[in-house]
Amino acid sequence: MKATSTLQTQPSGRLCWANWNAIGTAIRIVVTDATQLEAARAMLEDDLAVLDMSCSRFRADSELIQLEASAGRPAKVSPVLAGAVRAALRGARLTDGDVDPTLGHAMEAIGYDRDFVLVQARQSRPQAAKMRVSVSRAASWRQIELNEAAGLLTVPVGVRLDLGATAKAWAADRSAQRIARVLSCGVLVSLGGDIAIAGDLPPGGWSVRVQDVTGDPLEPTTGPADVISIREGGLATSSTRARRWERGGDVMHHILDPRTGWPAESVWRTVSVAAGSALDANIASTAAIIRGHRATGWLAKLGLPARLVAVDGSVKTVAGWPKEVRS
Amino acid sequence: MNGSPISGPTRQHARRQGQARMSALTRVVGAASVLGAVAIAVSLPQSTSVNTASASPATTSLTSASSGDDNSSSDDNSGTASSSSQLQPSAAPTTTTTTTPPAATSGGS
Repeated sequence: MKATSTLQTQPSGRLCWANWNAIGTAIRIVVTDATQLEAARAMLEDDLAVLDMSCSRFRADSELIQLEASAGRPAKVSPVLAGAVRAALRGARLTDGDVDPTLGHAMEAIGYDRDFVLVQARQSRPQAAKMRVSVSRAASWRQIELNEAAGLLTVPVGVRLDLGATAKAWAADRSAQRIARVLSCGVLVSLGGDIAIAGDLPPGGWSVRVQDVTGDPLEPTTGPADVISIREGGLATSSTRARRWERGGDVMHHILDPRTGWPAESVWRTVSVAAGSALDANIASTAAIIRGHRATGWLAKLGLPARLVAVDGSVKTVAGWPKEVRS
Repeated sequence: MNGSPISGPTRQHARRQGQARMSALTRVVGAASVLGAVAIAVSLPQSTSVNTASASPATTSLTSASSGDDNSSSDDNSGTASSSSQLQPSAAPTTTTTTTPPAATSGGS
């Protein structure tokens, strides 16, 4: 589906941007050269179309779903799917499995089995009384075999991959770098709030408002927010306040604790992390939600600047994230 | 008829010399094997995943830094993310004093 986008220029004329929806989330691209906006948007749309066809959990014709027909045998995969799986495995490895790409069936068991707009629509229907879902793990992420040189991927029988946690961030990094390289301008790519920057910096760096739920920068936000400037790498925010739905009397969200297969009961409702890439920022912010109190020490030890918002709205910052809070 | 032109003591001496050479060679090969094993162990990443399904020398779950994608991402072409053994930090964000709207927002989605 062709995206519908709007093109706007900042009053100062320095930045211009386009917004649209794709891959089930809000897309935003900002460039420092207005003459390159259309080309940049077209490049990002192309990248996202390929990403959707390769990695979507909600398309029967996606490469990810077709992969299951290989029933545990090595299957030839595209470079995009291979790259997204590599990114997901990186997340699993560097978080000791807290960011786990094998939770596709667990996600379906709690009701997130289609595009999120449809999940929300379904929740308005009468539900059965309180329900509990027990999810048994078919295999570990450690059993996924990726041979990129040969373009072969082996997924254990019974595993459905869910690359949602890392694929957007990986794709943001990839597209931002490609667009900046080809068009020779500064670029910010936001895929649902997973932000990657590349190329020339605007004066003062790229300003970003961190908040519970990704929204329009021109619209005010509710809840704690902070406007900061980044000059390299990426920024990502994970939140239990986004993608929430009701099922069987329980309020669900999309960040699952791999130990339980159930939405993480975190002390943090929102975690933002700045890192060398959007991918690493996303891995860290997702793991921080799952790790709860242990997250602050872990982030500090890694030197990853982060802002953590507790369930009560209080804010904690670590590793050099500016303490001043603006809204 | 004595078929050997070499005397008994000489043969024993030669045999002992041969055994000594073989023993020395064995020690050298053994030492080289140990050194080789140590070198391989040192060169492996710290967090090499253990593939319990079927280990193949050409197959790795995580440690390959190769890029199969010519479009390249930071994970592909920075040379840091995919090959590094920890999440890569960046310079800390700074506060901003601009009065213009931010370029983007970052929240859950």
